[in-house]
Amino acid sequence: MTGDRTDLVSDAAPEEGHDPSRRRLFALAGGAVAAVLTPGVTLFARTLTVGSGKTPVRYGLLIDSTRCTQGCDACVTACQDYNGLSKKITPDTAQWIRKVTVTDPQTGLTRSFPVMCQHCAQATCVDVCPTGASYRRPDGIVLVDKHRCIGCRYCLMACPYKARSFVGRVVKDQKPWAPRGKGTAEACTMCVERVMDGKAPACVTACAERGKKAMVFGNLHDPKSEIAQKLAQFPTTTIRADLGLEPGVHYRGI
Amino acid sequence: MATMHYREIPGRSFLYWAGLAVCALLTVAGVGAGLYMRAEGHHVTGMNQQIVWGIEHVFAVFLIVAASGALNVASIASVFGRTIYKPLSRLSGLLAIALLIGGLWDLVLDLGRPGHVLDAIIYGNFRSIFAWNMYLYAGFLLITGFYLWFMMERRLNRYSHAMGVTAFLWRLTLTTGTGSIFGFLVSRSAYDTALLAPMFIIMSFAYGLATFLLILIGGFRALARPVGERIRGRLKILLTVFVAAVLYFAVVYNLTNLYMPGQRAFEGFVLLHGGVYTMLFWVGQILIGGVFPLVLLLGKKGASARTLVMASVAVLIGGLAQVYIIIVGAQAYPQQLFPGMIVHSSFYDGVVNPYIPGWPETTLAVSGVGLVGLIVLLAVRVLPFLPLSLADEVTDVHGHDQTVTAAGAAATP
Amino acid sequence: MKTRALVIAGLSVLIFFGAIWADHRGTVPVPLVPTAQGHCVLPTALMRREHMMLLRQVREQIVRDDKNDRTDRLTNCIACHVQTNSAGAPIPINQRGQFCAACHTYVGVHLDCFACHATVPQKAVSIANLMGTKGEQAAYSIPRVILQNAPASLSRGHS
Repeated sequence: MTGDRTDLVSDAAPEEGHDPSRRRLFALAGGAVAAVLTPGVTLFARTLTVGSGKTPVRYGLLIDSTRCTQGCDACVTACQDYNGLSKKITPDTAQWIRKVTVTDPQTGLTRSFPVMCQHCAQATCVDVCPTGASYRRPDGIVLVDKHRCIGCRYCLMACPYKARSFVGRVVKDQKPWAPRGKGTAEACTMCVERVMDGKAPACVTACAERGKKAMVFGNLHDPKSEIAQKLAQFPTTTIRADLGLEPGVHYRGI
Repeated sequence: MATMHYREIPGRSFLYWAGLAVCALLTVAGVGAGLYMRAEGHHVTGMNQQIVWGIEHVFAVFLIVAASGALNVASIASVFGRTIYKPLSRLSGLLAIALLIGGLWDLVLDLGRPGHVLDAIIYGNFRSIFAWNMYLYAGFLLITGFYLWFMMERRLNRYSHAMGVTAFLWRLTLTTGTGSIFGFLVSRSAYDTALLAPMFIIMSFAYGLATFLLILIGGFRALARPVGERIRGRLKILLTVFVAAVLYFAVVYNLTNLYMPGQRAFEGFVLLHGGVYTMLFWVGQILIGGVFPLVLLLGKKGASARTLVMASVAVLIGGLAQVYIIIVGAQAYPQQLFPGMIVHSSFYDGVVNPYIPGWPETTLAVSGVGLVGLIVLLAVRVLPFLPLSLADEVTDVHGHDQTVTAAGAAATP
Repeated sequence: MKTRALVIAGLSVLIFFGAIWADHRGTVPVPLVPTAQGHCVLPTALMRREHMMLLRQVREQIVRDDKNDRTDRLTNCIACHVQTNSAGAPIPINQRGQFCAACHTYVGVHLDCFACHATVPQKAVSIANLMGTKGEQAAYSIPRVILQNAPASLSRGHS
């Protein structure tokens, strides 16, 4: 009987090719080898491809801060409703999405827009997670596999966007599509269950229906998608682009 | 031929049993605190979504850093061949193991799901410095364990040098790893610098030696075994150098930040208007942890036990303050999502985050220290870790004897 | 010497009475497990023994391997096995006497799923939706090892 169990486990183990982070590591190793063989040119060529290799699908968001207004929080409440999050704001409440107001002290210009998990291509939370519970799906969505999470909170330390939260209470009445529980880290899932059903994340839908139509969701790597076309239309940026994490959430006018 | 004699302590005095009881109580209280946090969730602690690592991490990192530093005395003896330190090697190894276990104890009991800790080994993510650290910790316990065994078992003595070298290299790697847990993070103003790795190594030298000194002098006094002027003098010089080096790194670290315009706001927080953190920095880290012990060690001739104890206690207090700033201070200072901008949100963006250590995590933090005491007290009673005497005659003869024997052996046909 | 003898005697007495006590506890009645609304993905006897292995396998596929079309997932197990109270509201599946809890309490195995997972389905799910044409075709692949070791009478019961 014990033998069977071992077989089952190995059946269930993910194949190597499915693990993008591992693939990235191999790519880096390959780059290093190439650099030794032919220094200079090869290293440069290799460096360019690492991380920005195009997968068929990469889900992302475009947030237009020129449309978003300070009083509106349709995206935040939609997220709380859909994912069963608490609406009571205390220092230990998990917040998957929050409205941030940014004022330039030089010019006085104020903008308001939502910040959530930025679903980075080079996600620091994925890198630092000791168990590999933080992982990035092939479609670019970054998730926490709570079955593996030990609750060390290193990802909360490592995320430059303050996007991760830690569940510090017993959770009851979860939504079937959004399991979450005490002692594990969590963050915006880009409503992965909705996305799999072909729908947009709850925040994006709410923004379109009740908000200012400031959010676009779609496949960044499909040139025909609305998001890709808009990104090609006007200048956008990502938060802390200097860190080189290649976030999947783009902002206009910040 | 004069040989160093080691002996188990009798362990029948009231002091011994009282110490054992206190340490055991602290340890048990820590288990209670850990179970309570596990059952209720971390909302019962002072930590929250902003301060995610608290006082127990300060103690854990402090103990782990001190652990590798405590091994230094043994390393100096076996790697660098200073025979005068040889009689201290066993205690040095024991303390290293005990301190590391104490630190890990704090870390593991703090986890959100401590029962799943083995997942880190089952699944292991090798891009994570944290995962690497787990292997480094396990390796450290194993290597130091073997090292102790080779030192204590006469027939294996000849391997102890090789094991000592391995342990020394391993502990350097380990502390590099511990420093890199923070140094590798780009997310916070206090981190993102390679300086943290060497800084942690030098911190480990100081904290480890200070802990070692306290236990050595305190323990030998309680046992009425002598510690001679000669060995005290050597340890005093070592401590002086280490404390000065820690101070040097603190100056370089803060000066570098001060020079970078983007980092000045953070530096202003640490040096000027960070409230408790500014006080911890100037009074705790710099004054008590650096200036005071230096003045004490350099100003007084000779190396009285009193001077060493006072300096060591100061170094430990300063060290705790320093680690507190490195871990909690770094989180208290707001993360810079939009550098140079004024930021507001419901998620406490742009504000300095308050943290008052709660009872559960404080109890857990201190229980790590209790466990260290428990391990040391039990170990010195059942195995001969402590030399019978470190009086000058003994250490002198011992050091002298070694060289004579070596020369004699070379001369003998 | 005397102490050792005393300890051994004490332990023996403890084991003896412990065994009697445990035997007495063994007479706890086998729980009545509520029956589900439809056919399971595997025969009951197999599910009873292997459900955790299957859940784990499916979980790895859904969570880590991006196979989101699996219908044999925990949420659907719950949708099918959940009981409703007199008002027609679903009763949490981990509540005393309910499908999961009944067995797990009896065998004394800690139930960890519901620290995170919902214990009731969001809305009544029709069985046809779950195990309908799509479900049949998604054809649950019974791990070969299980079938090979299963008694002949236990080959796919529901097809």
